[in-house]
Amino acid sequence: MLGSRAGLETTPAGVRILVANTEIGQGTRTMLAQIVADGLGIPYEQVEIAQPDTSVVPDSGPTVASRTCMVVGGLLEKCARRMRERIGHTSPAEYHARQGRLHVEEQYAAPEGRRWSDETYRGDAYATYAWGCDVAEVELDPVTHETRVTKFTAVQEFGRPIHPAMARGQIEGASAQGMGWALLEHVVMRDGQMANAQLTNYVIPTTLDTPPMDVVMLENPYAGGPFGAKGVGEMPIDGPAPAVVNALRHAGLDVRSIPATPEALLSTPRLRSVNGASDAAQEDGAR
Amino acid sequence: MRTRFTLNGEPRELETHPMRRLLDVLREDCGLTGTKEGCGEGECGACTVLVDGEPVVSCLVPVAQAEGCELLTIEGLGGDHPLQRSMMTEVGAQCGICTPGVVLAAKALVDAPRKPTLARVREALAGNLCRCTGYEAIHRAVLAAHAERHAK
Ligand code: FES
Ligand code: FES
Repeated sequence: MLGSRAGLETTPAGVRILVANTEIGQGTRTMLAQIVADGLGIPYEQVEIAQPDTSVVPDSGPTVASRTCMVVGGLLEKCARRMRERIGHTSPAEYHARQGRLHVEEQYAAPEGRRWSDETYRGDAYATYAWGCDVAEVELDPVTHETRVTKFTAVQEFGRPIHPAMARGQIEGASAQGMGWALLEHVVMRDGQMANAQLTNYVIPTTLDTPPMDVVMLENPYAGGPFGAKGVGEMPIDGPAPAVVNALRHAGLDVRSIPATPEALLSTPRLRSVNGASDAAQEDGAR
Repeated sequence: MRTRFTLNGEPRELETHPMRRLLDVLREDCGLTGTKEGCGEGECGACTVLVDGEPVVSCLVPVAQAEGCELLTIEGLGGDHPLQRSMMTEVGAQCGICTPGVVLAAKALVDAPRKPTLARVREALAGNLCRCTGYEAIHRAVLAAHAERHAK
C-alpha cells in the first residue's frame, strides 16, 4: 500500500514504535525494535511498541505478503535516522525529559522506477522478490505407500536477516507445515464448511513426522530494505510440497495432487520413464 | 465436592464439581493461565501438566483424579529452569501456545543425568504438537538445556 505510514515517538524510557502490524508469534515485535534500536544507536531494551490499534497508531497497511519487515521496517529505519538527526547526541529519554515528546512519521513511497496505482491496484505489486530452493529426500514404502521425508534442505535468500535465529525458525516452521501439506493435511469440505476441523481428524506433523532440516540463509543485502533485509514470512512454505511431490515422481509415481497420503498413492499411476527410477519403469514394461 | 492436592508445592483445597476438567480448575479456579488449551480433545499436548511427576493432558483429566496428587504447572517452574532459558535463546517458542506443555513434557529428559539422543527427544515430545517451529528449535533447546543442567 502506497499510503503506509509508520511512526516513532520519544518516551520517558526511550522510544515507542507506532505501527499497525501485529505480532502473532512471527517475531515482528522483536525485529522492528531491533531495527529502531540500531537505527537510533540505543539499547534494544529502550524500545517499546504500541498496541496495533489504528486509533492510536498510523495505518501501516496490513500484516501480509511478507511486507512487514521490508516495508514497515524500512519506514521505521528512516524514522529512527530522522529522530537521531533531530536529537543529536542525547539519548531519546534525555531529550524527552528536556524538550518533551518528539514524534516522527514516514510514509511509504514506491522505489524509483516502480509503477503502482492505489486507485486501480495495478502495476508492480512487489518491489523485489526473495528466492528459495528446497530439497526433499523421501523414503517410500512400496507396499504400504507410506512416505517419510528423511532429510530436508532449505536454501533461502531474503536479503540480510535482521534476527537470524528467528528467521531460521520461520523457515523451519514453514518447511514442516509445507511437508504436512504435502503428505498429511487433508481438508474435507462439506456444504461449504471444513468437516474435519479437529486435530483428531485433521492430522498435522508431530516431532516424529518432521525430518532433520538443513537451513541455509544466503546473505545478499537488498539496498531497498532496512539494513539490507527483504521478507521471509511466507516464502519458505511454498517450496516444500512441490519438492516432496517431485521426489515422489522421481521414485516413479505420477503424483499430481496433494496430500499424497498412502490411500492416494495406492491409486496413483506409475510414470513410464523416470531417470533414476528404472525399477518402476521396468515393472511397467513387464506388465 | 472438596478436592485436595498439592499445586506447585503448596497445599490446595477447593470446592468444585468432581468431573470438571483439571485444565479448567487450574485456569479458572486457581488463576494459573500458563496451562493452555489447544484442542480440548487430548491430541495436542498444550495442556500438559505434571501429575506426580508424569506428564498428563489436563483437558482429559477430571479434577477428582487429581485428589491427593502433586501437580506441577508451568508457573511452578519459576522461569529459571535451564529449559525455559534455552527455549528463549534457541527461539523454541513462536506463538507460544505449545510452549508450557513442551517444557513440562521435556523436563524429565533435561533433569535426568543421561544425555538424550535426538530420537529420544522426538519420542518424548511426540504428543506435543507445534505448528510454528517445525520442532527443530525445540530439539536444540532441549539438548542445550541438558548440557547446561549437567555441565560439570
Ligand atoms: S488441549 Fe489438551 S491435548 Fe490439546
Ligand atoms: S510455538 Fe506456536 S504452536 Fe508451538
